[in-house]
Order: sequence, then C-alpha cells, then structure tokens
Amino acid sequence: MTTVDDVPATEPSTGNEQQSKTVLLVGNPNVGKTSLFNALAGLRAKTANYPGVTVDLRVAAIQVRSVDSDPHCQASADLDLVDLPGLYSMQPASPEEEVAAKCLRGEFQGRMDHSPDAVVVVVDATNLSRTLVVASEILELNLPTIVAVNLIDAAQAAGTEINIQELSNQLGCPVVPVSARKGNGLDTLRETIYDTVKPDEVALPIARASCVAGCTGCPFAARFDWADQVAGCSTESRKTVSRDLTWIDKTLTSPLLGLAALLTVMLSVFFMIFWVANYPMQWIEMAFGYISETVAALIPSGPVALWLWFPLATLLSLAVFAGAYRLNEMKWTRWSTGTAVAVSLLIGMLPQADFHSLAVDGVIAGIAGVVVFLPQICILFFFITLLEDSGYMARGAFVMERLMRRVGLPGKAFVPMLSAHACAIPGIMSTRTIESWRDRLVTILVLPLLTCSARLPVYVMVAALLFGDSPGKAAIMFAGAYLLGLIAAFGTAFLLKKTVVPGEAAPLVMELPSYRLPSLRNALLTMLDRGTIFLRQAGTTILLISVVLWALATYPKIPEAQLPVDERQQAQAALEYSAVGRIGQTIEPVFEPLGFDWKIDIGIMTSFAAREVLVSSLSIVYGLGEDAAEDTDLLVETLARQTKPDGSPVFTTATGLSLLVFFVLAMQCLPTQAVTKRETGSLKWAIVQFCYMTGLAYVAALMTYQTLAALGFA
Amino acid sequence: MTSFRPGTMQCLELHAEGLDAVRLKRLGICQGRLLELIGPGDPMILRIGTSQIGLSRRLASLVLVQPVEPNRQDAASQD
Ligand SMILES: Nc1nc2c(ncn2[C@@H]2O[C@H](COP(=O)(O)OP(=O)(O)OP(=O)(O)O)[C@@H](O)[C@H]2O)c(=O)[nH]1
Ligand SMILES: [Mg+2]
Repeated sequence: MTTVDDVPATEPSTGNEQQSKTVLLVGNPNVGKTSLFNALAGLRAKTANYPGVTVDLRVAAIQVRSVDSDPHCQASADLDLVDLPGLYSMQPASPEEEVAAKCLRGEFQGRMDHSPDAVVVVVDATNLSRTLVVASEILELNLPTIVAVNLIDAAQAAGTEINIQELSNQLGCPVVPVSARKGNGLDTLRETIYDTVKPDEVALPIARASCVAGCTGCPFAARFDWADQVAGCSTESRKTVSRDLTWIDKTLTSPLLGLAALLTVMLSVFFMIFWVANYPMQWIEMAFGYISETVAALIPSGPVALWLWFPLATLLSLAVFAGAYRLNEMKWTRWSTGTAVAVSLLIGMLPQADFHSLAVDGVIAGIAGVVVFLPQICILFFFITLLEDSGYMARGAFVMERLMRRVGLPGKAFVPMLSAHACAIPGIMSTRTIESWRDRLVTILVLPLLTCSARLPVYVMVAALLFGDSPGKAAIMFAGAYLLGLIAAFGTAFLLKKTVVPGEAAPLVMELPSYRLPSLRNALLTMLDRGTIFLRQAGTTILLISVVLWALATYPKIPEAQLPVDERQQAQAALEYSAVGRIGQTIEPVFEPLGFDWKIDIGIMTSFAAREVLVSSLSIVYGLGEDAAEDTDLLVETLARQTKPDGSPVFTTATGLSLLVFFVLAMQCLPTQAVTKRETGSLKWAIVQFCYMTGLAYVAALMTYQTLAALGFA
Repeated sequence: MTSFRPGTMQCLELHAEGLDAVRLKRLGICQGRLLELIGPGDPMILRIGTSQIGLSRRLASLVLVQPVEPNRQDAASQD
C-alpha cells in the first residue's frame, strides 16, 4: 500500500525552473471573462449576465500550441490561466477590483507575486467603447497584451461589424474576435497566446504611448474620449431593424410595475417547480418503492446460518461505506477505515430482523425522503440560471434598491440576496462585492433568512400535506414562504440599522447589462452540477444521520412484557421506549406551544446542521412508529395519517404552517455559520446570527400556530 | 442633475469625493462626458454611450450638468 499520511503534498512546480507561465483574463465586469475561461479550460465556473459575479481568483492549467506546425512535433506551452474578478478601472473601488489590479501589477501576495507573462483583455463587442476604457489602462502597463473581442456573435446579430485590423493598429497589440458561447475564435486566441508567451522568445519591453500623457483634465474623461475614438474608427453599424426592447425595460424598471413584474416572475417560477416536478417525483417515488420491496424480499426472512449471514451483512455494509466515501471524495485514512470496519462489524452482528429494519426504515427511507426532491431543486436552479443569464436580475436589483436603501441595505446586496435563494454560502461569499464593511456585515447577517434550496424539501412536504390537490394554492404558499423570508430579512436589516450596526447604505451606481438570450446549455449544466451536489449530500450526510437516527429510534428495545396487546400500538410503544422517544418526550413541552409533537421535535433537532434532514428524519421516525406492512408508503401519506393520542390528525393546517414558518426563519445550517464566522472574522457574528434567527423562528411559529388555532384551523 | 427631464446633457462637474467619485467616474460619469437621462426617478437610468447605468438620486445630486439640445427643443426650460 502506498503511504497515506499527513505530510502536505509538495508543490509540483517548486524547484523546477520550467515554471508554467501565467496568463490573466481581465476586463470589465460582465464581458464574458469567466465564459471565456470556461471555454478555454473546459471548466464550468459560475457565469451570469450581471456585473461582478466572479469574486475570487480561479486558476486552470491549459496547454496552448501553434496551429500551423506539424502535429507530431508541435511546440506547446503549459500555462496557468487565471480568471480575475471584473474591474472598471485600475483605480479600484472594491476589494475584488483591488485583487484584480494587484494581480496585474504582480503585487498580489501568494500565487500572483510576479508580473503576468501575458494579459488577455476581454472587451465586449456590443459595448466596445466602454469596455475599451480599462484596456487603455492595462496597455499602459506595458505587459504582453492581447485583446479578445468577445460576444462577437451578439454584435453581429445586432448588425455591428468590427474592423479587427483597424482596432489592432489603433491599440498596438494583437486583437482576436471570439465568442465564448459559440466557441468561435478560440483556436486563434490559443495560438495568439502561444505566440505571445513562446518559451524561446525573450520578451522585449513594450513601450506604449499613454492616451492620457500630458493631459491635465480628468484622466477618466480622457480615457473615455480615447475609447470612443478608437471604437468609432473600428466599428461600423449597419442599420438593422432590431427589436426595440426599451418598452420592456421601462416596465421592468418602473417603481410599481417593476415590483409587480418581480413578484409575477417569482410566482411563476414556483408554480413551475411545483407543477413540472410532479411527474419525475412520482417516478422517483415509484423507483424507491420498488427498491424498497426488492431489498425487503432479498433479505431472507427464515433463519440463516450465522457463518453465512455475518460476513454477508458486514461486506454489504462495507460496500455502502465505500460508496459514501467515494461520493464524498474522502480518503481511506486510519480513522475513516477504522470507523467503516467497526460499524460494519456491528451491523453484521445485528439480528436479521433489525438488519431488515435498518435497510428499509433507516437507509432507504432516509435517502428516499430527500432524493424525491431532486427534480424540484434541478428546476429551481434551471430557472434561476436562465433569469440570471437574461440580464433581468440587474433590473430586479434596480427596482429593489428603493426598498433596500430604506432598511439600510445597499443596492448591491441584491446579488448576494439572489444567490442566497439558491444557497446561503455562495451568497455570503459574494458579499465581497460590497465595498463598505457596514453594508457587508448587515447583508451577511440577514442572508440566511432568504429561502435557500435546502428549504425546498421542507416546503414541498408541507405543501403536499396541506394543499396536495391544488397546485395553485401550493404555489401561493411557496410564494408566501419566500416573501416571508424576504420580509424577515428586510425587517432584520432595519432593526440592525437602528441598533447594532447603525449608518446608511452606500447609494447605488451600477451598470444595467443589456438583455441577452440565455444559454440553455449553461442552465442545464448548472442544473446538473447542483443536482450532483444535492445527491452527494443525500449519499453522505443524510445517510449518516439516517443510520444514527434509526439506531437511536430502535434501541433500547422495549421488553416483551411491556408491549401492548393491541398489535397496532406495538410499533408506537417501541418507538416511545427508544432513546429518541425519551429525548423527544423530554423536549416536547418546549415546542408544544408551536403545535409540534415530539416526533417533529426530533426532526428539528436532527436537522440542526442541515435543514433538509427534517424530511428524512420524519420519514424514519414516523415510519418506525408504524407497522411493517406500510413500509413502502410515501412520506406524505404516512404523515397525513398520523394522529394524536386523542385521535385528531397531527398535521393540521395550523401545525403545518407553523412548521413552515419555523423553517423559513430558523438557522438550521452549520456550514453557513462556519462561512459567516470566516467572512466576518469573528465567532461573535455567527453566534448573533444563530441566536436571533432561532429566536425569531420560535416566536413567529408560536404566533402562527396560536392565531390559526384560535381561528379553528387546529 | 436631479431636477432634469429626460434628454441629453453634459457633465460639468462632480462634487463627489473619495469612493463615490471613483465609483461614478469609472462608469463614465465624469467631466465633459455626455449623459442621456432615459429613466428619471429614484434610482434613475442613464445611457452613456452604449451602456445603461442605474444611479441613485443621492449620487445624482452630486453631479452638475448642463442640458445639450441637439434639436434645439425646449431650450431654456431647464436652467
Ligand atoms: N451571446 C454571447 N453571450 C456571452 C458570450 N460570452 C459570455 N456571454 C454571456 O455574458 C454573460 C457574462 O458572462 P461572464 O462570463 O459571467 O462574465 P464575466 O466577465 O466573468 O463577469 P464578472 O465575473 O461578473 O466580472 C453571461 O450571461 C454569458 O452567458 C458570447 O460569446 N456570446
Ligand atoms: Mg466572471
């Protein structure tokens, strides 16, 4: 066996004089740098039609070669291609612009502490003059520079011809027209990069004239004038009958209609989620029903010799461990191997009936409970990506700024708030685009209140329980839950402004990108990525929690003598006797005013680290409390059947909505708290966040339940 | 420039300082540049060259502008 130990891997390039060269992709925000980076490196970093999406350096190793030489002895060069955050000017106005500017100057500590070997300035063919401004500044750095004119497809469609030769003469550097989306011009770009960084060529210092040399006025204005002039010389606009989109824009950015449009868009996305996802969800449910039956049938019910059973069960369990480790990309260290072997041996020693229950009620029920929601999560990401790509989101930010400023949030907080609707973690990361620390802190603190995709399984479960037969009502409930999250976030921001973090948000000045036809491919790929992440979570964390919960809900076993005579009550009594039953009943009084029974409390406790666990926990806890004959039932049906000791149903409208409100507002996500701590630099803010959210969730759920109960919905 | 109606204008002076000034200038709102107000309100929409900029009224009030009438329409109404 090769050594697997804790010695950090040495950098492969250390001590090697043939260090690979660095090529930077720079340019204005939203000109398609990341798209070009993805196209060149075959990667899938996040892109969107919104300025400032990339907030981090991203490096990929690529190989470039000359095209014309003999393919067998083709010279090639290995490069580190770096995707930088967008920047409007070398005079940075935000931390990530500063990162980009420092990289260009070779002053960035760590990876980029040397001057780049080449710079690819990406400009937007549909907006040449504005995007050339920063090119003039970069050209003055006298680095080996290539200008890539991206979105050439969009420019052609709009009837703009760009004279590449003329542009190249004006700029004094190679100019390559490309389309990152269509893939045009990529080979030429690779070749040009190769020519620029050719290993055997000594780079001569380049002396380019500055367009602002000897200029006394505002240097920005001079650059803009220069860019106007260059763009004017090299573009020719055929008058085409282009579709006039201004009236749409007028509507989408007007104070009232714009807000209404935002709501309509959100509502229709949620309706789609609920309606379209129905079919694949049924298929998944059927598939799991089948798997569950097959597994149950495969486990022999009659006695099997121990020498045969023990190794079989142990091996099976080891195989599941191996699969989970692989999914999680975990190494087989001494610890992880030990755990896997020990647990597998334990499982091998289980009585056959318990093994059956573990497989069916624990593993399969737990995973099925969560995987069913895969279609919904895929659809959500698909539509959000389409919207992001269309350019609508900037209008959303524009419309929302009026409201946001009032509660002390900057207009720029919309970007993080948007990503937080998929997952709070990238949301918190993208608060790095907010310049002022005060604005950034407020945004981070309120972000986890927005509805992330991990809440979807909970919402869907409640919707199916309460409004299973009417997609319209379910959509309204969904929109309500999203709205509640938004309102809570705004309300909290306002309170924070009045108390802990006083001050005003920085006023908005932001580019509104032009509308573009969204890329279906991008949306599909994003959907695939997010679906994979979700499944990985189901195969690892949720599997683990499911097994542990199953064990706690099965042991200790109720003594035969205490089993009730009525067969229908036996399973229930056994569950109440188990560790889970005891814990749940102890904390029941805490959540009782919210309308939750102790099984729901168990769900809340186990979903402390990841909220979607609630669904799998409820599947396990309620499933175990039932007779074996009902094993293969769907979660929602099982839940709808549950009754309190007095015979009334557990999941009334009041309890369902109270549970919903609790999950809209509660923190219930450990990874988010870790990110909050890192980005704010102190544990204090993570604790503040956790406490205020949990408190808010409790009080709001209490109010919901008590009000509805008083109105007779309990 | 908060008191103007839609139309083209020239930027005369910026009264912004520090970060605000940089944020305005790098998007093309600086001395001598032509701006076109296409969506008045708060925030308002400007067209600068081929790009559109959303601008909050609070920042707009720091920008001193002079109307430019390409067609000599409603000449004196905006002073
Ligand atoms: N039609 C067309 N659209 C493109 C092309 N390249 C990029 N886009 C779109 O332009 C938008 C912006 O692309 P990004 O790659 O995120 O831009 P970026 O420069 O990395 O932006 P920041 O990270 O925000 O600075 C996305 O919606 C892309 O789909 C292209 O060649 N043609
Ligand atoms: Mg990017």
